[in-house]
Amino acid sequence: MSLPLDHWWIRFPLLRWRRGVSVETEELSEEPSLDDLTGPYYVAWWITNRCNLLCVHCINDSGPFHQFDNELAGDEIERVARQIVELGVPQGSITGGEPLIHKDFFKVAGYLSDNGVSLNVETDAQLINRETARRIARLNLRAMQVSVDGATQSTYGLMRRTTTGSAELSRVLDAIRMLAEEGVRVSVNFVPTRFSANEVGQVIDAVAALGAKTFYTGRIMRVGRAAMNWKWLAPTEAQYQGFFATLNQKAKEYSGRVRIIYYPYTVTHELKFRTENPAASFVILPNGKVKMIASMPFLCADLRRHSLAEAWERYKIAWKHPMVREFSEKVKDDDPMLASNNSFVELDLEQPVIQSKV
Amino acid sequence: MGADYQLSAASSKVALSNRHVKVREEKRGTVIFDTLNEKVYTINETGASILKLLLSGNTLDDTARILAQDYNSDEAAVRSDVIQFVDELAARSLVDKVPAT
Ligand code: SF4
Repeated sequence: MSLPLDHWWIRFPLLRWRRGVSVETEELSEEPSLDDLTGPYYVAWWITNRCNLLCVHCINDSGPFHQFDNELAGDEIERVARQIVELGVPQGSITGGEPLIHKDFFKVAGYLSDNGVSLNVETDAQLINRETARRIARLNLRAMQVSVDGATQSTYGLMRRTTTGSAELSRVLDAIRMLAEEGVRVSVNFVPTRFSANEVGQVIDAVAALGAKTFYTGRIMRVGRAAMNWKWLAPTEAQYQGFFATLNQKAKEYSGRVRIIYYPYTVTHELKFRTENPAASFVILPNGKVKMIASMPFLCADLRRHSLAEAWERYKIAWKHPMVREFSEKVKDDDPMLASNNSFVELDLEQPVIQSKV
Repeated sequence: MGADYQLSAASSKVALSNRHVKVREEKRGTVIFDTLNEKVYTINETGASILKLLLSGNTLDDTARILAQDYNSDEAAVRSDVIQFVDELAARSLVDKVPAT
């Protein structure tokens, strides 16, 4: 008699914890019931809202003077990092603002990575030099995710602003090359706009030549500053059709060399889907509050008051909260409601019961 | 292949193929996260027992022996199941077979 192995595994081929689908699988994937999970699959840690740039499409409304006045302090950051490890969160990302300007970045990233969290770091890459690239290589990250949204300085600079002018495209491209040379897996993130969507093919060619391994993109999200600048940023539907056609063509061209992953849906579509199929992931804000999903303003926990395990239990309940369901039902693609995603709303949740690990 | 292959495979150990493959026990079975390729696999309790024994350092042979006892099953049949299971994991680049030292 052999083992009772029938149906010994179920394969979930889709991306279940980040918002994205590969060009081969253009569907949103259903999550397992959150009640069956001991904790999130993915935690996005927005470690500071301070940024060296002031981009016109920033969903977090970050910038040089935009640090929250109550961001977590060193010992609080250590506690959160420890809890991420203790809860067995398999993967996460550190984002911002610009994570590299946070004084504890290397300490936190090193701790998480050394203790079993497969880590992604999102950066504008403007501050990366050879020495930083070497330090980053020692972190053994899953990937360094670099934003590149234009093939020309004029396009890139139009989106990536500083207090005095524009960020330099050449710096980002140098950074990608240095990171790749130091053995860091580089993924590139591209936000299409009315004036950049037609450059996507050139950007893929450029970053592939420099050693990037993955390319993520999707529709620009109408949240944060992107919502404020929507009229001149949003590509037309015709532009999107050309954009997605280019992506499909490039995916074939780079098959086996660069993974090209895009998310074809709108934020609204995702929100409605996620309300019925919540992802096993949430966002930790710079002040330790826990945000359910980037595109909604709702907070479900405060890591200054709750443990991460408690936050997970509260997160599960939060998806059933009437305000969340109402927001998801009412919101429309062109809705200014989405622009309010950074005007945070703390949900009033009953004290959750912590379930023990099985 | 065949018997020789099974013989050599059975004395192997198994390791996760890289540090970005993660395994987590859940309330119903075990989940394997291939974080580099952004894939998630759920294995049932039997698969989970095999993987747990292998990742704690047992050879495929030892694993088969232990499971055959636990499930009161024929050892050769269990060994074949274990090898097949590991081959499926290896085909998805989740584990590598490493020679037992
Ligand atoms: S989009 Fe990124 S780089 Fe630009 S301001 Fe926002 S956080 Fe900074």
